[in-house]
Amino acid sequence: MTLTSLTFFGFVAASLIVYYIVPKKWRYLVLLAASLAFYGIVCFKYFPFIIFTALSTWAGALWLDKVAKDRKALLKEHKAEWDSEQKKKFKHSTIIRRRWILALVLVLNFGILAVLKYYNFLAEWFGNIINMQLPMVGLLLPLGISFYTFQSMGYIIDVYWEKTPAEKNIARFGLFATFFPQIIQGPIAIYSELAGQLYEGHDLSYENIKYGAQLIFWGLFKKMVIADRLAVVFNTLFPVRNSLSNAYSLLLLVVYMVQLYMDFSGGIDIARGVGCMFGINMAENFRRPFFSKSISEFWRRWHISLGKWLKTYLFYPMAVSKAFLRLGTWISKRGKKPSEEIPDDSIWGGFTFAQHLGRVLPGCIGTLITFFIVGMWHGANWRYAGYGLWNGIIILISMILEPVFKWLLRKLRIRVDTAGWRVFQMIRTAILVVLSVVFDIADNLADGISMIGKCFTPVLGPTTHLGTEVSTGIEAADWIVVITGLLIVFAVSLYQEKTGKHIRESLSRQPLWIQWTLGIGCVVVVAILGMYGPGVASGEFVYMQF
Amino acid sequence: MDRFEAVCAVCAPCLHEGRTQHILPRNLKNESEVISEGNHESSNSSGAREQRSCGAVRGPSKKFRVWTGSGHKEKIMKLKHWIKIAVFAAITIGVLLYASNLLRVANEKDAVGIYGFYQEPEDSLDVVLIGSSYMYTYFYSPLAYEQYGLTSYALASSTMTAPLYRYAAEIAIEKQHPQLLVFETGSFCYDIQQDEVSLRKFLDALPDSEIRTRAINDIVPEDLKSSFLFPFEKYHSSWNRIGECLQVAQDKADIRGKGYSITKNYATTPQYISYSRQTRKYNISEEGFKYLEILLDYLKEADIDNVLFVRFPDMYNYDVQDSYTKMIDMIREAGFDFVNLAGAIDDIGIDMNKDFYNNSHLNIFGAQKFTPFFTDYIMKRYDISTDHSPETDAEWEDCASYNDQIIANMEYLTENKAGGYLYTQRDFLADYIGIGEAS
Repeated sequence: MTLTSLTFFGFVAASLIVYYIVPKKWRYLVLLAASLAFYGIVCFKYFPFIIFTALSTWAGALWLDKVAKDRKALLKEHKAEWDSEQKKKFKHSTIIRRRWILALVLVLNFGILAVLKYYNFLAEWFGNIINMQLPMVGLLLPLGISFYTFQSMGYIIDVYWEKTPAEKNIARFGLFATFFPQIIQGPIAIYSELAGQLYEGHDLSYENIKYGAQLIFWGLFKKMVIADRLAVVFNTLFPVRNSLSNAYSLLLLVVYMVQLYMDFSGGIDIARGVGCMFGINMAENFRRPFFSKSISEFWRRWHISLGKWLKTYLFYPMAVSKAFLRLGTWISKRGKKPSEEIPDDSIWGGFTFAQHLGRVLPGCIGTLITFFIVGMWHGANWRYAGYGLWNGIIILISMILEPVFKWLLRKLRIRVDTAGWRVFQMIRTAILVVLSVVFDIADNLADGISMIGKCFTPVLGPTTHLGTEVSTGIEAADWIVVITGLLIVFAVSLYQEKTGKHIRESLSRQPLWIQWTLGIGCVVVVAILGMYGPGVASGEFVYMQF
Repeated sequence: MDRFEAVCAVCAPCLHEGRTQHILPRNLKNESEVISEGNHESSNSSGAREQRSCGAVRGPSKKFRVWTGSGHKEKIMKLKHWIKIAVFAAITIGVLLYASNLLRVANEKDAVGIYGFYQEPEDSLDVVLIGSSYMYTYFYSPLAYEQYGLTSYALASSTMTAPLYRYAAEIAIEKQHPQLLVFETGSFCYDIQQDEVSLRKFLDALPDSEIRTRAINDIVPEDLKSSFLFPFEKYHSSWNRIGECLQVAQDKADIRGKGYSITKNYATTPQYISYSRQTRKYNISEEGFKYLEILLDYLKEADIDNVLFVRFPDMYNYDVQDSYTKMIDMIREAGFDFVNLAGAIDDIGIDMNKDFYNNSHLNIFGAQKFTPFFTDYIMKRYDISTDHSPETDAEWEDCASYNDQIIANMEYLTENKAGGYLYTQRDFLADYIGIGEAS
């Protein structure tokens, strides 16, 4: 039951009917039952894993909450008797206790993820180092494990930080951990943003149904009309990638990147559309990433929920940690003190190189570690690490050399407030992003690096290096569909980028016949041009494997 | 007038999102009276609803409705909305059904040929011929009418396999109650009886009916059933041969407009090949026997008297196996007739160097010889009445009136080896009319 199947939409329709029939206070239980049923149907074998994560996180959060409350109560009780030293000591002991509880839950849950996802990879890698064959485990990855583990761990960290109170009701928390539209490929929700909406019984609303359906069909259009066609091209070219000319190698990379975007964002749109029908506003996961003017902006627009999670729970704690700050100060002090004041328009922006490095290095190291984890989150292979590090290193270089670039622009008198410059930045970012997916599709890190090199080999033409013509796997008519579809997506994105509005808001102000013509047209286009049916491998989402 | 204040001082989510506005009706003192946490985007023009960034909207609270006094109006609005949804869904379903019918073309020729059978006035056919492409390339029904007054139709599709015979017979009996049913036996020899393409050419050309559904449930392999029951699953991808689909729709419209098919599913290719006889084994598989048995049981149950199983002649020299004799025995034991015309090439007068357009199919020259021979055989062996209603005779005379033109054209094109594809009514009546005569 994938997100594009009729079974799924039948399941959603049945869940919606039951949801809006039962009294409001029980509606969250309908969502929970639907979520558990969905997971059971799709992935029954791995049901215990998600249940364990939900139960351990719920219990751990309650434990953390209890320790915090006990601490407050005891401090209040002994306010008069204890001196500040005693209070400090007591506080410290509870902090340590809470830290251990958090560590236990994190280790248990990330441990399961690590064993299931990374054990074989690490065993093989480590075995090669010590020249020994380590035993492998024959386990498949439970559906959505990376998503629900990150989401649940985010919650317990929030409880630890006392940003959110622990949820006492196991059914409520169970719903947050297993909410079915997002279990397959996210978005990874932050507890404070989603939980309240899940527990609240929403009214049946025409607008929610309408907007939900619009989002679903937009997602289906991206996934079934564009991404699944490009998947055929990718599956045709990928097996012969080593003998492709550079033109086709580049085409392979571009096709994969566009397929990935259409597939992932389409899936997210479907999930958000389903949520919208239940009156639930799920977080946006993409904000027109190919309009980004830098790689760091790209990551603020691409897979936003993962970026936000890592920023909140990994990057910030790391960047502001004492060790990182001390490192920054230490580097700043290593440099030679300038004999006179440095002007602001100097090459390092009014600082010495050491001062500049001291300022940016903690952030750089944090970025590099974060992107290494982003890469490894995608899969157990060094090539994924390469994917993350490619992005991390580009950001690191741009952070370190930022004043130099600014200085150069000034010296060369290049105006940065022009449309031309912005377009150049977008194209430059897109090229770097497209090249990054080499690591996603290559066999290994070395293969990935060699593929990038090959893209710049000056041999052009629609042939392999052996001189034979290569088919792209789809007909000319399909290419017309893909290109037209991409132009439509681009036009919509451009509109959203320029106005900051959703297209459906403008659409809802149009006369009814226009709305209906477009609505019916969209349904018919998806129904006719969508890739599904006998003999068509469709329905699987690329990000499901992550 | 805007009913909302534009100050948000304490809403954490709004601050988090960098928003400065929050909705609050002026005459309500605090936000908890209107909405609880989690709603924080912008108000719409009516002010009664709140929209979230995904578009999800939550209705106003009871208190708010009382405040605006809009309960009744809201009910009417709700009703209007649900009517809108229902109408939208109905139109969309209508468009999809139309698209589904338009695109449901497995084989252009078979789709039109079988459609033509359904357009024939009920109980107007004396004989129905069931089988594969042998039927519609060998037997030219309007010619049989012209010469013998016999009305007939080839309810056939290319490579029609044996499992379909039982259902084709049921359709023929239900629609026409013919005086004679003729089955071509070559189909029992196919190795794969549940071949998807063959099944689709016939089943997907049938209109949706109880028989079609039953046939799908009985004979279609399990993994293909859903796409047979819901053909759009398969044929939506026919958009890239929309020209072909539109042509079929046009052909069907022509037949519908006329009320009947002029050529009665006859088709051929204007081509001839030289004789080069090859040997083939005539063997019937277990599957073939299974479906023969099913057909015979059905025919006995349906109490059909006149049934003729026939083997048509072609260019092959058959190495007849025991199973062939077993098949004939089974047919005769069931009380039905079998005739082998494979050895009657000389009696029919077929010229092996001129009358075939490929190894297994006759061209217009061959059909002109085979049709009267076979009709004569039928008329002599079975007591078939050719008394028809005046409407039926008028229809068939109209069809027969095209015979001279069609034959002349096809002979001309065949002599010139025009070849190419299978010519059908559309081709017979289109550009070629008059060419033969002119020459």
